[in-house]
Amino acid sequence: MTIPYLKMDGIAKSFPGVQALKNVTFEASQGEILALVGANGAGKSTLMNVLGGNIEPNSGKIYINGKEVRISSPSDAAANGIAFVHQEMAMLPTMSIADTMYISSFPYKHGLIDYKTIYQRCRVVLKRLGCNFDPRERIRNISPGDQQMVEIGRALLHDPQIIIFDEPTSSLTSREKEHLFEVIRTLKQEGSVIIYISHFLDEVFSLCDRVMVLRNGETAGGGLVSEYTNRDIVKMMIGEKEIDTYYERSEHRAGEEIMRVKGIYRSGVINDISFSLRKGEVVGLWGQLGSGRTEVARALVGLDPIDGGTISIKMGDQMMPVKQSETKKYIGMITENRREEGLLLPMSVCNNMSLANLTNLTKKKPFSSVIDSKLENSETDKYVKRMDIKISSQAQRVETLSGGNQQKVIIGRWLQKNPPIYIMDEPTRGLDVGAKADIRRIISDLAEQGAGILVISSEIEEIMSVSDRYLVMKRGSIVAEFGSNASKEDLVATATGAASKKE
Amino acid sequence: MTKKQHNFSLRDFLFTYGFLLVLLLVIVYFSVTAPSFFSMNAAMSILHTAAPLLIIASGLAFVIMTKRIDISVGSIAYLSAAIGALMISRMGLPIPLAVVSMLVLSCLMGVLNGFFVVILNVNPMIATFGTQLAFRGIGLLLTNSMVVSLPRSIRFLGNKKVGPIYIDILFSLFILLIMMLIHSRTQFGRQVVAIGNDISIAEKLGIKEKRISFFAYVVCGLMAGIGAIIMSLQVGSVTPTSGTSYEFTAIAMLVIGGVSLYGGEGTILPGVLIGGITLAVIETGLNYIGASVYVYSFVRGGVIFVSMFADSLKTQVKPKVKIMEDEPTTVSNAQ
Repeated sequence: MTIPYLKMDGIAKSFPGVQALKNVTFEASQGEILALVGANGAGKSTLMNVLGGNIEPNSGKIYINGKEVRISSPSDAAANGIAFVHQEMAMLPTMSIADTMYISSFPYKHGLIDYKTIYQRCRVVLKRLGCNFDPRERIRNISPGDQQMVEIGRALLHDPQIIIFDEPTSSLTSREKEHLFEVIRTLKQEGSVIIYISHFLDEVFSLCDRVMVLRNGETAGGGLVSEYTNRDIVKMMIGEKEIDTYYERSEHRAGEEIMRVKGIYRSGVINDISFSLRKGEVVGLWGQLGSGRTEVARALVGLDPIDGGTISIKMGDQMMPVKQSETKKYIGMITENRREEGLLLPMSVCNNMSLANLTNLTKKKPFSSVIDSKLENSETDKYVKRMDIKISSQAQRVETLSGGNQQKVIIGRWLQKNPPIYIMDEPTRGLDVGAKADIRRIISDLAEQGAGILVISSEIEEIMSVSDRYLVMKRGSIVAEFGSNASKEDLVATATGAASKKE
Repeated sequence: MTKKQHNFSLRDFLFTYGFLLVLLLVIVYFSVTAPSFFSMNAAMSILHTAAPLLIIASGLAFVIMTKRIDISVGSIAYLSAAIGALMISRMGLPIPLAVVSMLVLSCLMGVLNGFFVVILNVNPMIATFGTQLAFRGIGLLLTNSMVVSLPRSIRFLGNKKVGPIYIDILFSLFILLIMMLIHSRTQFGRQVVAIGNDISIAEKLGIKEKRISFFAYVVCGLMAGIGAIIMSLQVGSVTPTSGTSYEFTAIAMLVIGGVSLYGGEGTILPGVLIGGITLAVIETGLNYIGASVYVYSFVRGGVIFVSMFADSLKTQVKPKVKIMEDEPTTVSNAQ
């Protein structure tokens, strides 16, 4: 067998507290498309950032064409013929296509930028991508799909031999996606090494030649795509032995319907989302990053606008449609970024916890616009005890608390207000194991007391340990619903699109 | 692919050419109300008035394109003019040396602004408001709040004409031309615009954001210094109020000319030139129809407000939308 064009040997990288990559070895040859798949946090991005020069590994070697190379910066990577098409496009809306492609380094002639050469070169490169843009067109006038082509065009400017695509289809329509696949196949035929990172197994099967699966920073397997079925790959992604294990969790008794969402949509973000939530029930909203799960949560509480659909909430004994701007009266929302969107970091625990409930903490008439601080303190104290928040005093500043305690402060804020419905987006992100368990227990308690809870999490174990029912999202739509007996495999397979193909 | 691209949009047209339209309307209005207005003489005096401000505005444009601001330009102009005038009339230094010192000094003032805003990360408005007060303070101290006259030997330059055209008009057009080339044909100019689009994206693309933004303040200071030369030559002296409120006039010129305060947008030629002329036409026109001096401020305020409102509307044109495969409109387009 000939030497592979690219070989990454024994790559390891640890971040504080996490071993992101453990001894990963990886090969790719010219003229093939290699899929790199894995669950959230499996190490795909870290591995490719090592190759792209954005991250330096702790150990391991990289060989290109049999020779060892050192890649310690993005420019080293470029010098070695490696180009990275990032998931997040770096577009300059007010500038021209040519400017956007050349911005970091323009060729000069007679002391001025040589636009004649630039335009020519842009046309050639874009033509290779099957695009006939005028390089003088402004970025904001072209569609996201075309912007993606510009992004790829920028990567191709320096004739790379190795091209990494990181989730390139996440903002594309299906036709734009087909076009992109054509382009990638052409690049492959021209002899490039293509590495394709994707959440979507259906894309892997329609596009890629070989697949490599990462799990928890290690190689979990790989080989020719044609030798695998979807289920095989899903199994490698989540681990063979875990596949049928169930998670210990408390069953909740679901009561009457408390919220009904019917056909809400926002053009291009979420489509036709319908579901209902019952009292005392925990529903897991599961999907890959970018599947629209957070956007649904934000739409439900009016943080993002919706273009249509209705949200009804039980009032008395009737389901009443509620205006989007009013829903936050009934829903306690715990956002995914507690530091940016949830907490007022420099303020005290007490102030943070009473924030959503101030209207009920005022003095008696005629001073009803003045906060009764005694009442505020006693209310706060109740919930600090109930959730076992570790603080030195109520005046302690929230920014000095640990992540778990911060999260409890946010939850405590809503407990004070006691809404019938909760939405929790990544409630345990970044917390240690103990704090995670605490939060899960709080979720269970809330459900037992009759709240309806929608939980979003990237960690499948977590969502399986609290949910009574699952809604699976993919590309902005709910694609499946499972009862409590769903397996991990079911969830991963539907969210990655593997289940849509026959075995 | 999408229909929008090919449709003519009145909105886009107005946003792109609106400032030309405004200029035309203003000229027509004054030509009708004051018949003597539409003349070569009036045109020359308009450009003559606008000349120093055009130069200052062209430097300020670079800062504003990075989505920052510099409201100290008027004071930079005053301080460097005051020091230049003192060097010539009190210390008797040779004129070329005085001019070079003025320019170096204005650069240094730009460096100071850049240091506060870009390196120390002070809010641009506050930082340059501070230097605005400080620079003028230093100038008043040095001149004892007195008028410093320029010697007769150079004073004539301020009103010298080549044919029918004042030479300072030619000079400022020349500066604008150079600034246009820097803006549109150098890496510095392009990266300034990229930073104004989005600082974090610019950094991700490998642009040395701090260095470029810092340099934009230096360019801005230098232009205020060059503008100061013309400003003082036109008057023949430097008064304690020289350059007062120039920053707002310059900002108004820029905004009318299509340089967005939200960054990343606008041109030096024709943008800044048209904006500058429009504002000058309005003021000269008011003069021609014999309006009260107090109306000037009112009208200028109104013009600034309207142009900034238009600017803010412009940035609200398109919300960022992700497009997904099952989007209904895309499906119907595909069929």
